[in-house]
Amino acid sequence: MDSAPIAASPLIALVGNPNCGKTALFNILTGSRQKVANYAGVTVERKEGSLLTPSGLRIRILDLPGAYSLDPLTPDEQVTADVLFGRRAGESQPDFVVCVTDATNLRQNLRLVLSLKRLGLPMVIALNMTDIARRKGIVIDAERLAVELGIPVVETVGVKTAGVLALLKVLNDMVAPQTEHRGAVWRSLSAAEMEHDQAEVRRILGVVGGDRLDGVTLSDRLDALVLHPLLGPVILAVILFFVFQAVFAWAQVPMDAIKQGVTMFGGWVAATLPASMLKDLLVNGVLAGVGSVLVFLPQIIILFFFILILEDSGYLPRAAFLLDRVMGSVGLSGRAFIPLLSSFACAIPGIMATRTIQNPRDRLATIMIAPLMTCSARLPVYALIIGAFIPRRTLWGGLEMQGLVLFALYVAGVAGAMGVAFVLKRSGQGTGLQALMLELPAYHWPNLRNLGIGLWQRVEIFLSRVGTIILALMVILWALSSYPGPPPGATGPAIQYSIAGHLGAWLAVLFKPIGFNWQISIALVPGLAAREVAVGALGTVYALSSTGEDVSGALTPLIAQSWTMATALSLLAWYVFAPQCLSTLATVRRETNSWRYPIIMAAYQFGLAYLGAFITYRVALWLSG
Amino acid sequence: MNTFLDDTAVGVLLVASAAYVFSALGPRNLRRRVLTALSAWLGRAPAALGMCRAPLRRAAQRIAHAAETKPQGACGGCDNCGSGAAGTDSPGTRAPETRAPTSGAATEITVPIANIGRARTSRQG
Repeated sequence: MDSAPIAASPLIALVGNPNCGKTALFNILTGSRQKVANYAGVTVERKEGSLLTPSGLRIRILDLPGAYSLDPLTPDEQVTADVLFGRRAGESQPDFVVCVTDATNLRQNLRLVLSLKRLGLPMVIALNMTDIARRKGIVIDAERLAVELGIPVVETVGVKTAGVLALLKVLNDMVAPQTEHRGAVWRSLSAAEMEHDQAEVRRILGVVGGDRLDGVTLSDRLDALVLHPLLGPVILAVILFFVFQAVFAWAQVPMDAIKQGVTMFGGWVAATLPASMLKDLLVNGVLAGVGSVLVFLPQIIILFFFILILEDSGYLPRAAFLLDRVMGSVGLSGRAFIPLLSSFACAIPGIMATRTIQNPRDRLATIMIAPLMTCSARLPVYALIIGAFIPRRTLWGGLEMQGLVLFALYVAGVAGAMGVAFVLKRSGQGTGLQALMLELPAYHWPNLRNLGIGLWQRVEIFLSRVGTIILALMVILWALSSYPGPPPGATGPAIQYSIAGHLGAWLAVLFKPIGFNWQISIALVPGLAAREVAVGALGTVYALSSTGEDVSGALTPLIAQSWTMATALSLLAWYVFAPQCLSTLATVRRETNSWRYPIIMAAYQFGLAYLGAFITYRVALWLSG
Repeated sequence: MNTFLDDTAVGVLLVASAAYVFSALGPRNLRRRVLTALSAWLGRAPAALGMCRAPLRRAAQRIAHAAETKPQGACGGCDNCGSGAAGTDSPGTRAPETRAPTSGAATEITVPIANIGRARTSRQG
């Protein structure tokens, strides 16, 4: 890539209120696939892309976090303000601003437009979501709006290419690199200026239209049900419960197909290659390890299918409101719900999303508990153990027992997080109850393109992890489990005499009180890189421990024979609480700018995991007599 | 199988895996230093290597670029932790392109937790 011409290109910033469609527009303009969803606060970091206009002008585009004003209250708004004022280290002030406005909520959006106008940068307004506005009967005179503001206005639809060509033409005609950058020229508004802006917004709306108050809309009628104090939580529980049932019920056939494919491929490799180290590495190291993880792809897809639908439909902010009281009781604000929910995919974007939380103490408390939410990397571990130890039995009402246990594990993670938040509140880390102010977007049907892209990205991420870090770690684990070889006359499996075998034996002393054997103890170590690596590691370790030829597709029955139910439950309890991912700790360090908090986090999570596993193991042993 | 070939294949796979794990999970500064040093070393390929020099120099350039732009704290995962990298297909423009930021330091947000989220009193006038 020749970076020099790109660096010299004009820089455009996409700015606007949260959830007005900036990222959707950015994706259309640059061909990117950044995450979009129907709630405020999805983008918390600046994203950069570039495009060529029809006349061949190369333009760099920044997608900035949504902001309600240029006086930042939250870290994500701070990012936007710093970029616009040219205060961000290593980055020049934008040459041009595209102010993205939501045509369905012009009253709120125009206040930011007036502030940006005061900033003095060249600007165009992208009047976005005009299709939804028209459907709602909102008619805005865009030409008159341009005259009143003295700024060009282009109508756009962020999720479609409509209007984008017109926007490109405007950019082509108007954008030029600034010869000199002015730096920050912003000062906070006085009360009189804010009042003046309000009056100006009212005046403009009166002239251009677009300030119609709707009667009772379909969204309002749905909200009457979804936000009902009694019915709302029941609906939320039913939705989540259905998702976890589907993860097991729907995934069985594709999982069996993948398992069969891995087994057949393993058999073919074993039959084709002559006896050698390479064959052992491929069959017992790579295929046994990677194959054990790969089989859980359908469950990951199903889980994210539902998460993406919930994100795109506009339901998630409602869930935040429903849980505000519960979260307030343990010292968290309802605003913490979205970051915590993001953590169900991966704790890292969840921790990043805490930038939308205004209060620093609330933000810190949310960061500290986010890793206790059950991330998708835990799913393979849970699914492996549940598949091995919980019978596929249908209970009353068609409920699957395996789905019920999975649901219970997710609930256990949430309960653990609430408990930790409560302790943090008591220790002074949390703050008192605060009112939750969150924009409720209109419901809409999930966009199929977004859904497809979102699912494909999850598949790519999973396969990328399997094909890179997990594969590499399995190769290393195979070497550690194979060398040195057994001494002459040894009777046990060769792995017992290897480096990993000795390490496992030492660790097993530490983990014996919670029921872990040496194989599990070995698997926990590479599992520190990423949780699902532990499944691959178990596959490799058991493949090398067994005398059979092919273990690549048979990890589940193997552990069902080797472990007791108490050990299985103990390992599940361990994974509910344990910090198994170094990247999460690194992100916490970066977001808090201190090593103190990741160290505290790792310590409390290990302590909690050991305690939880110990109690679970002992109780299970006692119950089983 | 020939023992030499067997040993070599397994050795190469092991070294490649260890290098990948280090590049993905190793300490960020150390990663950057090692990649930069490796790039410089490859870039100084002696003339005696003849035709091999060009591909070595290209590899050196790629490694230097990776040292600059490798996503922070990469775990082989979603790159959703502020790396800014994105896809490259475009339905609506002629030659779209997105790029990772050129400087790791410039892309990183380090907001001290004590200095954020304070409402400005000046806002009220």
